Amino acid sequence: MVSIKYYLSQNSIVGVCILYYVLMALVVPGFFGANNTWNLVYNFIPLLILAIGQTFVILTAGIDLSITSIVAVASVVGGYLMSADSGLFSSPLITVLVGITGMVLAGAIIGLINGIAVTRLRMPAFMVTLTSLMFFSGLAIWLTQSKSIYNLPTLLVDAPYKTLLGLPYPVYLAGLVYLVSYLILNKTLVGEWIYAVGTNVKTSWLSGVNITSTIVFVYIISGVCASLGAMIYTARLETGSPVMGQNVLLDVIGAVIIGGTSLFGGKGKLQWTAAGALLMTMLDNSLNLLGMSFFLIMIVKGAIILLTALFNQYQPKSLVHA
Amino acid sequence: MSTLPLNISRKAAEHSTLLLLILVVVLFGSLGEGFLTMRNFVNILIQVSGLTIVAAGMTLVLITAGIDLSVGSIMFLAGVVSGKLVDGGLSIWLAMPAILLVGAGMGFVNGLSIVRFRIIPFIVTLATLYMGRGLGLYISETRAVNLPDSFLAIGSLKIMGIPLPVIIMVAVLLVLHLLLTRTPFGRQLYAIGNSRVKSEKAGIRVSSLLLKVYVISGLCAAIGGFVAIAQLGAVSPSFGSQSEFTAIAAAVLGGTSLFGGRGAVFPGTFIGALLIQTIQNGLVIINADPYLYPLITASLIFFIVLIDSRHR
Amino acid sequence: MPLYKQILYILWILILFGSCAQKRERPVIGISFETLQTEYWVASVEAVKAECERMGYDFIVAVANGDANRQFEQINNFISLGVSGIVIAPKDSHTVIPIIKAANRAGIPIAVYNRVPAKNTGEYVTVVADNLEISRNTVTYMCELAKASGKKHKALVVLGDLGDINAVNRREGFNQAVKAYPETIEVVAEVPSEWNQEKALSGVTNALQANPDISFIFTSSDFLFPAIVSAMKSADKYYPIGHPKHVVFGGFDGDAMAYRLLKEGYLDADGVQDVFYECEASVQAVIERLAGKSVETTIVDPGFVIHQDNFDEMSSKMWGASF
Repeated sequence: MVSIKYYLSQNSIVGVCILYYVLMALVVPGFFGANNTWNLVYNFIPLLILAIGQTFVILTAGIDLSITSIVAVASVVGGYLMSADSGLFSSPLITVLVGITGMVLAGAIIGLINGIAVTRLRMPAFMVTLTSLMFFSGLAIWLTQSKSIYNLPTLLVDAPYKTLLGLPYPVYLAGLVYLVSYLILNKTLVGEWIYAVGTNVKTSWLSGVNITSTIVFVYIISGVCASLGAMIYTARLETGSPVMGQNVLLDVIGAVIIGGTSLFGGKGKLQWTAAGALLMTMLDNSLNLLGMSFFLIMIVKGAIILLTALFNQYQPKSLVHA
Repeated sequence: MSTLPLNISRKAAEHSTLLLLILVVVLFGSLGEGFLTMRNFVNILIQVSGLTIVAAGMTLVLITAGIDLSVGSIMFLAGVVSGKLVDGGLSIWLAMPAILLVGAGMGFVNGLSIVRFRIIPFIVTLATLYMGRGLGLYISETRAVNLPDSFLAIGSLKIMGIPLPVIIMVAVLLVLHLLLTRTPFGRQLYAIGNSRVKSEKAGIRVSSLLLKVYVISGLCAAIGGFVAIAQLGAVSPSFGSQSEFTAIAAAVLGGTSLFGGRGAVFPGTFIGALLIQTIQNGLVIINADPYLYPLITASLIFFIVLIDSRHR
Repeated sequence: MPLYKQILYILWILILFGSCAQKRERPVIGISFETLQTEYWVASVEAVKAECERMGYDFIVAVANGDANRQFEQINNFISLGVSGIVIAPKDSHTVIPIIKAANRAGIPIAVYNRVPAKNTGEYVTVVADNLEISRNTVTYMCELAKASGKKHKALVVLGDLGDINAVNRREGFNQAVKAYPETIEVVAEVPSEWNQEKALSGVTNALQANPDISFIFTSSDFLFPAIVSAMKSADKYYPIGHPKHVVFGGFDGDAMAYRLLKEGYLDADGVQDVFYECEASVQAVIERLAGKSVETTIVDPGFVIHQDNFDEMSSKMWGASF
């Protein structure tokens, strides 16, 4: 019991999530039940993947505003490679494999550009990713002349609903992303470097951290995560769209923040981000089930972001607080 | 102290933006008929007035190493409130204080959360971005608020031949410029931006100063929003969305640092805003492919920030 | 610390009880709108709600704020909630397909309002205005007016968000119409508005600056009128019909401002979508499907062009007139 209490005091957002779930299950009709639980899972997964990528960047005290444009570009690239209208490949399996590779590459390349601009060109991350956001959103719209791409292979569009051992494919994707991220952050040298860079650039440089590659690496991770999120969005909407995901930016950053990861870098955990993303998903879902208008949901989300920040502020500080 | 390199880099940044502005003017002037006319020049000045006012307030915030993401929502909220008040029979001159009150109020909430509860500006203003827009949509019931003609009359009013929006812009620029360069308040803002800890040790009342800065930013956002809607004649539900990014871009183009301690309202931010607006104006005049606008604007901003970073 | 904890919890409980919905006795229809940004959508959602009320159904409304993805999630929420039927105004014609499939999987009838879904195998009813046709007819009427003046006209068109199929169709309708009048109309400016007042204002202002002799203006949506009128005023181009400086002026939608401009004699023509008809048809389709009746897959609202000559006769059908 003591250890649970200690765990919750260190990971308060997890407790908040559980509390919120229980309360909603009691109060909101239709919230508790297998149907809506799957619904929550489906809505949670892409947000989680995007937020994990963002967590990497924020841990180094950076920020990636360009993720929504990466989602759009990846969706368009994947859509073009896979659509029967372009008919590039005959075998569906090869089509999907090439499409996914193309999407991940697109995300990685934009991440690389962001990373190089932040490190080699020494530009502020906020401005780099802001101009990336404007540029690549515009690029996706220009490339497609604003037209959506459809006629995607059934292999892809059915994937979100296919199951393996009782669990839908996207669950495995999210699990894999989480596991790999967890291992990188906690079991590797790179993970140590990421926290070190975020905590103090100077001392980490003195202690031999390769700062440039570490920062480039986190932006690439963020780009790849964004393209994986784009994969799920594209598959479940059965459309490659240049405006895909254009409104998720604030939800993603909000999820990381209410998780408790510090925008100054060096402090944060994956499970916080996961809980933050889950809370965001539950907020949308539950308030929606209550018939609340989207603008009221916006007010509530804003209030929650503020309150959680306030709450984190008055938490017993861990040793490494910013 | 390191004022010398700071000075040089500021000069360089201002000049690179100014040089680019001249280049853009020459380019559009040679490409498009009707660009290099007095009328169009006045036109650009009127169009840029709203953005400049918002960006000027943002500049002060950035100088303290803060950020205000909520300005777009404040513009919207102030517009909706004033529209509703005037629709409800209030005279436009009485609605004016209400606009200022909304701006100052939102700014106060931002400032108070930042100094009293010590939440970082990015999070506070992200939250108020959500809340302000949500509140505005709630009041407007998500409809576009069509304003009475008295608003448009103010927007096209001229005093001694000078359009009112330009006069308001010049007034705001002048006040903030003097505040930054001629008063202890201004000098203390730079000090806070350079090092908050040292400023506190030096006896500067950081909290009270920061609170004032966010109130000023909120006020500027509300005034800028008013100037913009007085020309539009309506407040659409998307009014002001992403304006925070444009305002930040204008300030940064003008040589203001996102890390604080460096920046100027005039000529800096004014030139930055002018560059953004001139590009938009020129692209329409030469009838460019509409899809290319964001690509060109983004590339130019990237380029300027790059030059600025090289000089640092 | 405990104090803040307590405040936090109390606030959450307040949010809960403040927003706690009443128990629903009657069957519920889920209404999902892509956006409520313009009067057109507000009028539509009100009409759909009124029709549900009239037919004895409860309703729940969700607005996706322009995000196809959020709309997909909201529809899944509806399905979780166990709604009886769905009326959706989708973001676009493709992203609605998986939504239709999801509704089909759950066995819930769905009516698609305003935008035609792309070809697919799902079961649905779609109610739509003929955007291309209505805008072509509207612009053709304007072209005839221009031709009758005997002068050559330079034309400006305000485009919508080019990611929106209806905006693309309206642009296409405009282009088809003016193409038939090469002697009379020369298009000198296409102003992208992205469905945004500010962009429309600066775009039109600048275009009128670059081409001071523009004498023909068409907007892809009426909700941009305030911005366009403001730009016209400052360019000294806003005069009533009959005045020598009058610009041939037309729009699309049929909103309240279009009604006023027509009545005051500033606007020559407006393409009108019959909102009441479309909304009633959408709700009726869902209810009939629920009763097990078969309904036609596509219900087309032919819309109409309202102009100075038929204003008295048609204005009662214009939704903006009663808004």
